[in-house]
Amino acid sequence: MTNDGQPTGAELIAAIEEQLRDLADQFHDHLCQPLAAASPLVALISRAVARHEPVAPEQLARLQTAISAAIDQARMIGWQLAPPDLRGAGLLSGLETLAQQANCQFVCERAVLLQDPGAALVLFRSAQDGLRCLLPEQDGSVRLVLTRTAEVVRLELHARLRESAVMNLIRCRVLEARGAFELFSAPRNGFAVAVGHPAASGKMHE
Amino acid sequence: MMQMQEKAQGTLRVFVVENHPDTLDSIQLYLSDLGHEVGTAMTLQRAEELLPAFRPDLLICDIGLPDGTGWELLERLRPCESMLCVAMSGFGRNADNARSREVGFRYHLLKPFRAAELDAIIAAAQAERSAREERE
Repeated sequence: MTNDGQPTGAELIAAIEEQLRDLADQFHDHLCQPLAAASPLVALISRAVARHEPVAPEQLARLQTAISAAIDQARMIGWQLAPPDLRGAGLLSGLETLAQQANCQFVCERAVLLQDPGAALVLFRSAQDGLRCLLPEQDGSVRLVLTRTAEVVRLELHARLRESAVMNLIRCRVLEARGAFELFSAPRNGFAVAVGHPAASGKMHE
Repeated sequence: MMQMQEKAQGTLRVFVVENHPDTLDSIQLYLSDLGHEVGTAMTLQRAEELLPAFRPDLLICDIGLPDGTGWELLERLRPCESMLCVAMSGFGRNADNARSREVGFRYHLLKPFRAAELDAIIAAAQAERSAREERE
């Protein structure tokens, strides 16, 4: 960490490498597995057709399930890499989808409609990166909480998180947006990020 | 009749260890349709229990298992030469070929794989068994 609290280049590279490994894991678990299931089935069905034998309906059903799973997962990964428009209600719906995918609770008691796409992206990516760091077994329910005041929009992730270089990436993103990053006192209990509300002066208080 | 004899000669005993149920089912269906006798396990512990009695010609084993790794399975089993051991792993995960070779895996299937790659593994196992039978 530099003197002004910014992550160093080496820390950011470590964070990016960790994200790429996470992405490879996601490809493996969600995309490679259904494709690995589909590939022998396609060959099996082709063989039956070549022999002029009837194709078993359950084999076709299995193939359909595997391909359908691969399509769903490919769409999800694509959506996570390039999220849709996050302005206006887009941020709320994006965070809600992230929470559903991570099986966590999303709490937002007052509507937060950000028009600044940069600020919305910082909040969305912080939530996304944080949720990727969830430890497999959580003590209580994982909560993603979005609140706003006249000056700031604040996102909190309450969860047990693994030690991760990705926290430096979140910190860097938030500081670049002149926002604030706070790691909760117990080291693995989550974090909060806050960015300036466009209705306010553009500056924010930490 | 000739076809049946050829099939019987080429028939292998194949054991597949894979924790993803759909992938395991597909591989099992594929191999059974080719006439091979197939045994399966979804965990390291189950594989350890079943493998000694099954005595496969070909073992296809996922590296990442819920209760351990395929490397551990081979370290514990110390497979004999008559069993061709093939590691299976996903893109970007556990594709440690050096470790695989060290414990006795001779080939590595990278998931998702094409059926032709599985066919090549089967052909290798068949060739090895034929050579072994000729020697004996």
